[in-house]
Amino acid sequence: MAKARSVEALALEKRRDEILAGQDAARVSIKVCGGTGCLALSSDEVAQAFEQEMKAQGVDGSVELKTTGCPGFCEQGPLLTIYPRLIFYTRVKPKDVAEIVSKTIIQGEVVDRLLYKDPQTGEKIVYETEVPFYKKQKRILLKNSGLIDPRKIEDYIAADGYKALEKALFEMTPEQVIAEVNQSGLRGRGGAGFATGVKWELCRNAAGDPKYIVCNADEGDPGAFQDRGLIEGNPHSILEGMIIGAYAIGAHQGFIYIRNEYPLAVELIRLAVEQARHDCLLGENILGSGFSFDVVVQLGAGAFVCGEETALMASIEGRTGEPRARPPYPAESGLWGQPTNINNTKTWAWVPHIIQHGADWFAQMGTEKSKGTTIFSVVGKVKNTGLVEVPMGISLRYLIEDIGGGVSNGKKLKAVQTGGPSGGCIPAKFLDTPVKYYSSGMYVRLAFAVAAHLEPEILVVDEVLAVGDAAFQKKCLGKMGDVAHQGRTVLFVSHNMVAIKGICARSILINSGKLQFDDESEVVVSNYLRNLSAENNASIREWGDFSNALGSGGVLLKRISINPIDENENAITTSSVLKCNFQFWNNLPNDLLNFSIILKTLSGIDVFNTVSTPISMPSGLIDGTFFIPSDFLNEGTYSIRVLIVKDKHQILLNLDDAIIFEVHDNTEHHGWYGKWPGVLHPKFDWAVSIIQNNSSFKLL
Amino acid sequence: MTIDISRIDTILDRHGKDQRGLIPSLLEIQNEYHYLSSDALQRVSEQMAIPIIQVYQVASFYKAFSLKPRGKQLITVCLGTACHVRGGDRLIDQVGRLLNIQAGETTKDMQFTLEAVNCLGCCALGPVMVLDGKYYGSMSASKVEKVLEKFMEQEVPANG
Repeated sequence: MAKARSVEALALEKRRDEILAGQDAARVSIKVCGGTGCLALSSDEVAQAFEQEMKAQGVDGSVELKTTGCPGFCEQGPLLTIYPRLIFYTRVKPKDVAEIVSKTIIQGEVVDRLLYKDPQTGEKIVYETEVPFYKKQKRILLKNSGLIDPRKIEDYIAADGYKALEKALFEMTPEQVIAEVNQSGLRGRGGAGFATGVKWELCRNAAGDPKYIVCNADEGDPGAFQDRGLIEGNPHSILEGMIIGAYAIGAHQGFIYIRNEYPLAVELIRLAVEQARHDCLLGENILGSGFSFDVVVQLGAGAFVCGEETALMASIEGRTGEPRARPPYPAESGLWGQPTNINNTKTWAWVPHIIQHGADWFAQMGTEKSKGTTIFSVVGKVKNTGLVEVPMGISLRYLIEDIGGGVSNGKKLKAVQTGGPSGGCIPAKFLDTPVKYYSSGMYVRLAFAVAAHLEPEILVVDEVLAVGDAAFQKKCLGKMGDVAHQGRTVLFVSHNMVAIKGICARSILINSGKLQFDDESEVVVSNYLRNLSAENNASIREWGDFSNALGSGGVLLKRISINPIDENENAITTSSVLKCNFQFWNNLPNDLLNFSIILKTLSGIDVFNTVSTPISMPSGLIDGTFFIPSDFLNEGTYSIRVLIVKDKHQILLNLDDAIIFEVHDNTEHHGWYGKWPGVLHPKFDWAVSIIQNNSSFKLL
Repeated sequence: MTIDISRIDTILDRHGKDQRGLIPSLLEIQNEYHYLSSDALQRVSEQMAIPIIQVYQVASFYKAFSLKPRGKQLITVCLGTACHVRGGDRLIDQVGRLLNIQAGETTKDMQFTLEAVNCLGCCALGPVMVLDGKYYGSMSASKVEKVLEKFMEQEVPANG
């Protein structure tokens, strides 16, 4: 549903055309990096030297000098690229400038000593595009960093900036914007990897007005500077993403929460906000579309924890940045209790690209579940350090060896720390593992492998056995045993009773945050099971009438019961014969139906599965019964799962823990009191007879 | 140490009296006076009608704020992971030796305060030091003296 472009939108298009028409592709342009990295290596002095030298040598009229954002190759800074030939100079000092102007700019010759030398081949490389560090990347978000002047909105507009915003405002409904982001498969770049479109939709649909959006640029993880690089190189791309997002979500106020420790990034994003306001891209009635949105740049005050979204919101509200429990999630109750959508800087920066080029274009990159590219800070003891953009799913080896040029000083790589302090160390043998968002199962497996490898003093394992196949579980158990035998502590959190009893000597039971039992595992587990069974522990459950009966598809469960057939017995014991009875309303007179009953222990072991013969039954109330013999079940708690199956394969009803019951053993067998080993304690027929009667036989 | 209250009031006016303006105001006051004096916090509390305990809570929570007077020049040495592996600790030791202070302390003449931070986002250039807002990348203990000398020369003796 395209709307007619407004006067303001047409003016923006005209402005872009004019800027482009004024640009001469053949004009020599010197791009000096002005990012924090190169500034630390005095790139500002290099730029000043160029200004003087261009005047002195009389080329200041014909040659353009541009201070750009961070092109990423910080190790080699200050960086210089001379367009249109893309001659690439590294480690440029002010004293080199006169020679660059006279030799390269005027005579077109290359200054050999300033060229980048490939550490692997020793070859000198003239052109930026040939440098392995750049050649092996896929730069989309970072494409314009190093190309445009982040202080000039004209540069961004000329590079198709704010085109996506115009498209969103005049050609798309907010729902269509969300659908496009959804379809692209974009996931949050902050770390948790939640689907961006889904998050937006939740916030859009949440009750409450006003709604807020937040850009999380509180990049506190040591070693990470992707957000800084992006903001210093292309601040308008983040703003444009936020405006589009606000339009989709229905927010009119946004916040950019940025680290106080990034003065240059703060200055540039503030400048970008002012420029956008001046050019009718922020504020009331954006581009004459009727949509209004504005942004506040809010500084962090040096609290690492404020990268966490609830802490960040507390900080914006002017309080101490202490995280709170979720739910409620920000989408329901965020800033000042209103629906709030928080995305990472890189996530916002992706939005204009996706809107402009479409979801399919984005979805082509990366892996099946992890789309697009992502930015890494490759730092530490590698040859080429810097900001790197690569498709999702590449391996760490590619990042370190192909782009990073390998480990410096020719040493052997032992481990890579990923994800900052909250990440972990990945040993060298896992270098070929693809970098992507992992399924929760895979993630837990990797995390366990890494945790166990680090020889921890305390190994905390939370439900790791819930994922992974038997082989993995066996390995986990073995590893945990090793750690425990080395005199270290294993803290194992689980709902798997068998595993707890097998691994732990001492257990504590925590219920709703409160300590309930602290004792030997055997005691705690049985207490836990007794508590649990008490909730469902009625030997009869009845649902009464149709309105609340369980089931669908033509069968409705009415009643389940289990009790000793001897009515004088008031508790189920190991010597009881048990009668299990089921009643259901049938509305499928022409189908073959049967019961399937699975009995299991509360620790999850299936004891047996018994099925009734499939028969066709008339409409009405149907009754089914089976009997469990005496001296069969062991002492313990059991639960019954009921299935009603049509035509031997189609499950109509599947009710887990339909009834939970306890079997007691108060009898004495063979002088032994207490629990017998095993799930069952059957009384089989034993035949013990005399083969040969020889009274003279003696055992020595 | 007396403070010029009017400058605080100007800052508070700019950020509004809403709680939302508390952190931006404190940051600006800190920039202006290099630290947050108890007088300043008291003034903020009165003007914004926020209980003094809450103002202190925020001021003591965030690392950017100092409740102790700081020197005219702030020297920040990064000890983030990347800088650490490249010798950030040797760098901070050397600065401390030259100025005869430890991290978190201020020289007696109130010229320099030395702080360790956890990341300045210049990891590719580690170890990094910031002096008077200027970043010095790929530093080494031996380069420190030369950088500091420039600032020591400018130093005007405090008049007591």
